[in-house]
Amino acid sequence: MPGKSKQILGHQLSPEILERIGETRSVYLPSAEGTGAPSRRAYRIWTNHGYDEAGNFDAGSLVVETSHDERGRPLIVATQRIALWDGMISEITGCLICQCGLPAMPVEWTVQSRFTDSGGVEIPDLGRQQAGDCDGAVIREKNGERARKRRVEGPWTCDWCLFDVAPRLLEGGGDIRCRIIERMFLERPKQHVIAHPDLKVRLAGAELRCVSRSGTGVLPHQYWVDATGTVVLLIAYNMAYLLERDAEARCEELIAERGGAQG
Amino acid sequence: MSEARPNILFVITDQQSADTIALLRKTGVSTPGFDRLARRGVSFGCCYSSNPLCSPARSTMFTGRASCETGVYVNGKGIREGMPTMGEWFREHGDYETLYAGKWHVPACYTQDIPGFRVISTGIGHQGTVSDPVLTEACANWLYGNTGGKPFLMVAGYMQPHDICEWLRLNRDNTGTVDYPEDMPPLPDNYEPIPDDELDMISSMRANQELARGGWDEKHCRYYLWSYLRHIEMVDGEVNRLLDVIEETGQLENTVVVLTSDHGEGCGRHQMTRKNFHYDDVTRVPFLFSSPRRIVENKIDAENPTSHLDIFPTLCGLADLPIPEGVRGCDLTPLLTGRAKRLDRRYVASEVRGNLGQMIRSERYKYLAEAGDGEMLFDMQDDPGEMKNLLKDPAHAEALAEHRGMLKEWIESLDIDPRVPEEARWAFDS
Repeated sequence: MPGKSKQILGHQLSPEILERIGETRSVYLPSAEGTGAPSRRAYRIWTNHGYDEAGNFDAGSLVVETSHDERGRPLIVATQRIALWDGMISEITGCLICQCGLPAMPVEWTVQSRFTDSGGVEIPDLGRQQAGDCDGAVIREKNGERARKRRVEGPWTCDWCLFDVAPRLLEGGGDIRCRIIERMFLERPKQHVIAHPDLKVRLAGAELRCVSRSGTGVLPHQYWVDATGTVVLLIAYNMAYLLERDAEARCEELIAERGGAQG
Repeated sequence: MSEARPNILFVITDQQSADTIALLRKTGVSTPGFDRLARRGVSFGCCYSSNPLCSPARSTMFTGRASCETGVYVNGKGIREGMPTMGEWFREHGDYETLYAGKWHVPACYTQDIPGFRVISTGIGHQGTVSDPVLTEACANWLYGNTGGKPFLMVAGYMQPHDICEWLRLNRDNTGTVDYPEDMPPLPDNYEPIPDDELDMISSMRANQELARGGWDEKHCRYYLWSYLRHIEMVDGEVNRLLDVIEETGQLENTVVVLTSDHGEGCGRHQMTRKNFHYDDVTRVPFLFSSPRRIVENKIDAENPTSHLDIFPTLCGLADLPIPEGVRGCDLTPLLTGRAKRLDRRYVASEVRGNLGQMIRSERYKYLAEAGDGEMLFDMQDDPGEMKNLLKDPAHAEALAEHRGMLKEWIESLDIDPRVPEEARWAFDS
């Protein structure tokens, strides 16, 4: 991009660094929308390659909707779209009903995973539908016609649920040790999620507090939460999820750009 | 062959050193996926990248030819026209369904245009944290829906642990300012550079790397090692999930799984990071084969030198296909099936920076030669950390002469692509 620098950052991503290099300009605070109400948050997924302003890329969007089912259990619907380099799109949607307590272990869920080509046409043999449930000790799931059943020891949750867990953990304080199943698909054992109520930054005019995640197969993640209990920013090692009003529109632009480039 | 051709899952990681698999030796890392492969099959402990740089290494895996022969002597070149590649060969000679997901990099990193393959997923940027999960998703979705018919050759080209390059950029200048974890590994035994007679090329490379430019202290270097192992666990989790799907879909018995990496990572040994030189952590890579009915289980072969050049002919051997003319590697099937213990091979070779930098690895020695720079000789049995250059040691003069002869023999046998410029070619009088 003309006029932009490509300097090595030399320091890990943080809210301050993201602000300095201009990536938080479109972040907004949903404070007027009320605490605890059903919410729909759209995040721009941004990847950092260790550079300053240039040499980094948007990857897509993540939309997280939180509400409650008729029994008062947390209901989380997450849709992740990744615009691949050649115009293909990966789209995953999960609908999870979770236990009320922490760490919001999913008890029933469905996941749809699909790919589209650079023309936007779904690729028929690259789709998957998953349905599953867990009674606390055994996870039963079906991927298409393939059934899978496995025992789980100890608490577990899904990475999408951490958008709900992080604010609640900050309210109560403390930490959780659990397994985390990413996208209800890939299990990461020995995860440690910790509230850091005293670790604060100011971003977009508001004070944000931090919840961290570390463990096997991850470099530290930081969930930055505002006063309404909304995750405004997730820094996931060399990626960031930024709460932005036009995150989905930006993803559509990316899809058009990358599809056009391939075509 | 009396039984049906096997499916093949070829997993390529990026920048994974050989000593990163928990079961085989490494502490401080959890790799249930790699461990599962190692338990189920044969792990070659003396496997070398044929060129410790992404594109050249990959070109050799898919052709069985040296990188100066494929014409991919540096990143960003395409494979020489007319040279058969794995996907084309398996389609044509084995009627395989050939699928490619993830990083290709010969020359484009992610592309729909891979000779002989249907591409089922690409990636984004050069980044594993976002691309690798998408890759696993695509491969798994295809496997869940696969109803059989033709055997498949599926390549899963993972990007991790290559994101360590980004980590190095994100942590070059923050020595002493990080909340260091408590469980960081110790420094490697060969953390110090070799005392003397090191190739100038390697010394000058070190001076431009992160340890030197960032003024790292030992603690920060240990943090780098700790972080590298988290990258290893990232990709292990992806591979482990893919192996789950192979089992869930009933394909385990009839699938050959092979895993390697294009090259390793400096890992702070000799105070080096990254790649593109011939010390062992950068050049020696994981090389695992498993298939319950075809390949012996739980075997570590640390004696036979092997290389990327062996992948193509070995997969041909396991699939009962002819091996293309001119392929330089060996079919390792006799070792994998337990029919043989030793290969009829005296050495493997590797090159770097065109073919200006050369490595010859015999069972005991490693010989490095850099055009216009010098030579190094290491006794890998007595000095596996490569800390003592034996070039001037009269006790090893005979070995030195022998390895110079091997290099000459190797160089003279090569059919170098005319696209490789003269200045990137080895010359014995340089």
